[in-house]
Amino acid sequence: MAWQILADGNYAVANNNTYTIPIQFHNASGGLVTDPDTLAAATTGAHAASMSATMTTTPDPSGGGGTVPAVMLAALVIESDAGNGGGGIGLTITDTTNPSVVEDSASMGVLFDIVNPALVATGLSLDIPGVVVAANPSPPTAAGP
Amino acid sequence: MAIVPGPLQPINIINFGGYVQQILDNTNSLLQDAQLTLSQLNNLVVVNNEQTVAQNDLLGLVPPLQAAVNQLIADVTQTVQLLVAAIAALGDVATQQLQQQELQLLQQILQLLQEPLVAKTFGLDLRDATTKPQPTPKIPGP
Repeated sequence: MAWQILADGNYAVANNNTYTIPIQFHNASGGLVTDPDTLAAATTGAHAASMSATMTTTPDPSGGGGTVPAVMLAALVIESDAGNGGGGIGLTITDTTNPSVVEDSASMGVLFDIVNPALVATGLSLDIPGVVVAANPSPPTAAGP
Repeated sequence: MAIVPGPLQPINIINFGGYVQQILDNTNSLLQDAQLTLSQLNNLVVVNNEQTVAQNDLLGLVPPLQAAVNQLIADVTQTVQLLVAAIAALGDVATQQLQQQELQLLQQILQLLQEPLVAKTFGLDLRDATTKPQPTPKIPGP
């Protein structure tokens, strides 16, 4: 999916949707591998309580069949972004089998803001009844048509 | 009874117990051969007992000699048993140490073979995220 990146660089989490993000495991050389370890997710930051993060599974996006671990984000408030002094919510994922292995989304440059879709422009239209008419200071001279 | 000791094997930690066992088996066979010879000599002395005084004197020597040989056989048998038990124990220790080293080596090889499959880090696959509708929260935030 294409994320909406806000003006402050944070990822937008619409308050009327849950977001399921697959987890990728990498070996020492960066290749993708599978891992049976159990993970735990938590939100971080001053507004951590405004978003929940729970571990789940999702179909393997590589199409290999089966499922992969994933973290599901869900807004707990209507809005938490720059508009009301909130947002910047981080996400940490801990390998409970090896607790020293912790990944912080902030280290990946990923923070989340909760946005209210009701306040986000999704299209445009002409406000015909609200038209304002004023004199043109430079009338055209061409005859037309 | 002809005793032909078998050729001795080269000594190392693995076959040392067998090497000692072979020597003791050969010794045991020699003693049994001596016992048989004494028995035959005893029979010969009995047959000719009335013929010469010298043979009578020899007859008197047979029982103590027989007893001494029997005692020697018993001692050797016990020694064999003790040595075999000791060598077997030493062999077990050596085998266990060798097995432990082999196990460590195999584990090391297995670890190296599995290295490309071992996860070192993990991260968010943001590109493959999916969404589902949820009820809008009631709390205003932030």
